Amino acid sequence: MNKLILGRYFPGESYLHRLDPRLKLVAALYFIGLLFFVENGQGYIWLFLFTFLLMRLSGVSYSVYLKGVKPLIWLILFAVMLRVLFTGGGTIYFSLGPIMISRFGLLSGFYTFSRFIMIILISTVVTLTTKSIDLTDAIHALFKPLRLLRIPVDDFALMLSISLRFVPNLLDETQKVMDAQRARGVVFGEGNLIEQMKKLVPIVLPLFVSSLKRAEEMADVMEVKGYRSGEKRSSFRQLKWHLRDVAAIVCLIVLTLGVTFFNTFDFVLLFNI
Amino acid sequence: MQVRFEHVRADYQLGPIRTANVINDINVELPTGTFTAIIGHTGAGKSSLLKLINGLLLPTAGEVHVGGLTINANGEKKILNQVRKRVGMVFQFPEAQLFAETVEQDIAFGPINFGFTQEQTKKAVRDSLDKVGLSVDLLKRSPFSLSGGQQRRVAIAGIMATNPDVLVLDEPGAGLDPEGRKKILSMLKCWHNEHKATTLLVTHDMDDVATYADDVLVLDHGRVASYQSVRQFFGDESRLNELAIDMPEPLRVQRRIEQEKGIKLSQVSLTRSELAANLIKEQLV
Repeated sequence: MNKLILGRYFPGESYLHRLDPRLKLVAALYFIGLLFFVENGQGYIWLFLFTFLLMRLSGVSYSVYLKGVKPLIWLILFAVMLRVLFTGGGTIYFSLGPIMISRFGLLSGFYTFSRFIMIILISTVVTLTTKSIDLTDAIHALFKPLRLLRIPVDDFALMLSISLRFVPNLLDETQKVMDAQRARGVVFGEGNLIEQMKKLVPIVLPLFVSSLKRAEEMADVMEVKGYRSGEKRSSFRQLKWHLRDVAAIVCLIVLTLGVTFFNTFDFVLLFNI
Repeated sequence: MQVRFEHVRADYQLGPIRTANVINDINVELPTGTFTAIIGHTGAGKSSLLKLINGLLLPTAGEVHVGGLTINANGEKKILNQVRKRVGMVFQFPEAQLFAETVEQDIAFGPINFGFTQEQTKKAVRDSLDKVGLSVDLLKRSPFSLSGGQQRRVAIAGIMATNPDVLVLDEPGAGLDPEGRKKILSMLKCWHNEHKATTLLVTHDMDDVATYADDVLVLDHGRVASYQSVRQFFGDESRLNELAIDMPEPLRVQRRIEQEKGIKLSQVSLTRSELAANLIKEQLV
């Protein structure tokens, strides 16, 4: 329960913390998009440098990021292995039936690996430096145009912010219920799949009960405080555009120019396909 | 069963944030059959101390001895399981752990996990239900259809059903009305007396400490600030002020009377009846 890093917020005062959440969200998506336009190894190195710069700026230690990557490492390695073993071309170092290790394969394995890692790292940077409430505000702001299509954007934003708000509570509660059942003799992580699934019932059920109870209480409180859905409302937290946000956009432009530059001129030929 | 802490240190991990030494070099021995209240301010390490006793939290250094069993940083599964069988733990708001379809199944959950036979389980369920003062009619009901107070009793019955030698209680009366609170605590005290179970009670209520406990263990920033008998502890007024701990109500009244009348009673009154007796003895009433 305590190993989940993605989606946790680390309080801080860094440049990244103070950036506009709308910008952070769009920039992260843009960066992920950019990853797919890189054509050679030096481009990836360029993006890696940028990623490390951001991680440094966030003021959170590298070990925290490493923990964020850890749960996904097997998935990544699986994807990389597929690439390495089944891509042909260039010099072939080893081959056995459909399986081969080639220069192409190794390189595209490296590219896949870099993409995965950077996607995780960048989204971790965003979530570590942005409060979930700011993130929902940003999503709300970005989806506002959909109102024209009569989509209840505000209601969705509220639902999202409520569910994000209760994630930490739910995690704490899970820990508590698990402790309570362990004290009653449950040993987790033992036995076959069916047995292990059966052991989940004493955890999931109490959580369901308490979540439903809380939802009901919450609805009552909102009603009492005069909340009505579908009404026009203003927001307590106002998102404001600052000079530092413009600076961040300039950074992104430089980053993009760098990628185009490295795509056009190859310096480190070693990494090319 | 005796509970002994030997140079125990423990960290607390919440997500990626690690709080070092929530428990900082604790050396304490709780003799068999004692009733100890654990008090201290929020974050003093009370809950962590309780979790150490049945290995839900493992020490980073030192050893916890429960009876003949030893919990250390390795936390071998086999030993932990044996320890948990001997230690009954009532968490804060224990009704949050109810999950089964019927009260009977829920209470039987612990005994079955600890390898009781079917017959033993059946008997344990009935006995413990009786102990917590609920009728057997409830056995086939869903625990979620009961009232809050009843739910708590069922949860506590589920813990007592395993017949523990050490009973660990984390504010068992929290959130109940005064009457229900009193009932639960006196029931737990009864159990303690009958089974000679070593009992630890975390509480914020000094009246509960004075009424139910024999000894008091004060935690402060993960260290033992004081460990003595209830009477000695509350008798030392300057130490209480130092630790910023309230007096039980009867003692406060006694101190007030002493101040007004300019006298000193020979005995410390922990309960109302003691206060009354002391006042009569000194012929103040």
